[in-house]
Amino acid sequence: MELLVTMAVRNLGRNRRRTALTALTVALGTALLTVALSMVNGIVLTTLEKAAGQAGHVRVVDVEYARREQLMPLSENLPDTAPIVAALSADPDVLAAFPHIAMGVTGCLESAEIGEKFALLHGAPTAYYTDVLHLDASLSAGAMPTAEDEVLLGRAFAEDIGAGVGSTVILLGQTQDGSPAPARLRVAGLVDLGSRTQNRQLWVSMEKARWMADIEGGATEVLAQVRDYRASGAVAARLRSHRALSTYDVHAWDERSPFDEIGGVLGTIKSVVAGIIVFITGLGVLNTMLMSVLERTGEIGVMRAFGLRRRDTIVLFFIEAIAIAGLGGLGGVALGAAGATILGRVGIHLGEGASKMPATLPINETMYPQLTAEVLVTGFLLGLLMAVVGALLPAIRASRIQPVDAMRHRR
Amino acid sequence: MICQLVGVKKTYPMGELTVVALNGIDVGVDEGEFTVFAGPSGSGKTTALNLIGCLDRPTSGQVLLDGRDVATLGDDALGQVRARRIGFIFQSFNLIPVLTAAENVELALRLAGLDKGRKEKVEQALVDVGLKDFMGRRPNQLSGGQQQRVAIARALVKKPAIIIADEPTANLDSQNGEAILDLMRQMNERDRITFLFSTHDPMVMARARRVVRLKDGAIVGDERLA
Repeated sequence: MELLVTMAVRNLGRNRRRTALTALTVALGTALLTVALSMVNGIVLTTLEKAAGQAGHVRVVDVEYARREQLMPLSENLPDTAPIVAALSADPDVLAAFPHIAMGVTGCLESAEIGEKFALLHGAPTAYYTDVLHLDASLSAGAMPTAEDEVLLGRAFAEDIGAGVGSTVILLGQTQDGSPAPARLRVAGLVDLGSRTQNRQLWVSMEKARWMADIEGGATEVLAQVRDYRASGAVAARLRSHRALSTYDVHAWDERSPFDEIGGVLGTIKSVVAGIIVFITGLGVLNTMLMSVLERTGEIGVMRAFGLRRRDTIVLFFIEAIAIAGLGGLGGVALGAAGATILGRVGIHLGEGASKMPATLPINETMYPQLTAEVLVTGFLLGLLMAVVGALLPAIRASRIQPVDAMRHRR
Repeated sequence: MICQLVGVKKTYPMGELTVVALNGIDVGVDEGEFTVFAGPSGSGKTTALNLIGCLDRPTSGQVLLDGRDVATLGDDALGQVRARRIGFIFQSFNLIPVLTAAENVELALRLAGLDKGRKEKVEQALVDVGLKDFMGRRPNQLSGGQQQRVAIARALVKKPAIIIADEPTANLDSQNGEAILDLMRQMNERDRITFLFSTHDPMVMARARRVVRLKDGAIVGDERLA
């Protein structure tokens, strides 16, 4: 093995231009991979975390509400949320629990006629708005509401109805039994969450939402924030056995639609992106390694004549490929890290399409790649894989060289 | 008898034709021989040596090495026979360009799995061929004669039963050619290593103790010289 390593390393210096070309191919592939995986990570770590936070890492709803959730049936509410909040808050992994009401409303300026400008109204404690949704950090005008008759509007909805800070708006919702529930509120501030979909929401106090839905002391759901959103499933499983929660539907954010399929979809996207890059780069490596095998047919034949086994021939070419990929991979990871870091600062504009995502899956119009140690290691290892993929065929071809054929070739 | 070809026939497909390289030859070689397989190009001498050297398999017939038919062995097993029992010296030297003279010689020992006293054996082999001061040089830093000496050291270092030399002087000038032949003859007499050559060089034939003549794939003469 020692001799094979020596030969492999020295062979790299025989045709430096070709070695450099192969290393560059791997470097570019690895760099591209690092940036691509960082971009996918950017979606996973920013968008999903944001979405998970908004949806509640762990959520408690009425069983019937869960079944008919798309209709947002206010009648299937949790009539008394205090014991549920208490049970959730007692769990050591739960940071906080908030009652929450979501309902569809139409809205207009006080002076205008009620039209068809729809929005999603949220009612929750102020702490949920500031600590979980960070709406205070997304204010584009005005301030957070301080009174029960104040509302925070998403920018798109405000533009739709022509409202600004200080305007008085009329919102028309429904009580849990279907009666009209109008509310006259003053706009305290405007919020910009980065996409038009998200900006078609509005936020009122818990009390005002309870009054509108006619659910005194209750809510449609209770949302719990856990320490690590990735552990939400385990926390939810534990909470399901809690006596006070056993009659409700308790689930983690990724156990409900549309989040339940996102992990798999993103995993597939990552695999496909990585697979394409590895394959294309592998072809580049294949080309140069094949040339190397052809050039060295006679030499391989001599070594085979002296007893070099087939598998050692394969090992020799793999060591060469991996040495090149090691160099190229390190360079590529460095290049990719630099690219991902720069893009992480300036961001990538995803276009208007991002605004068309459903409100339950908020995606920012500008995405920021997230470079992690895992991406760097994965990029480097896949760089090695590119070399293995590229070297496989030439190595097998080399191992099939018969000494006598090589001798003839030599002449 | 150290090796024997029994009724060996070797044919090669060439497009739609079949070329007969050896047409059922019988020949045996005893230990310690210094034998030349002579004949014009296409006579089958290199094919015969390739078969004795286990580099190729016969189309029919038997290749016996130490009384065992090697044609039935698998690729790796045949490789082991070559690694341990047979040394090769090629017309174009065929040294590994990325290895030094010493490493080229060492390669033969490593591939044969002969690890004991490896460094000393390599040094001695290179001293024997007069290249003590060239051990660290790579092939491109050596003359043709020196490269062939390294090739001889590489073939000899594992003390094989047979050394197959395919036109070993063809790429050397007459002075270097003679020196190389003297060296091989010396090794043959000192260590009783069997040398088999293919050549049409009269200088080589003049130094041989036996000349097997081939023509059109058949043996047309077999003379033992004094």
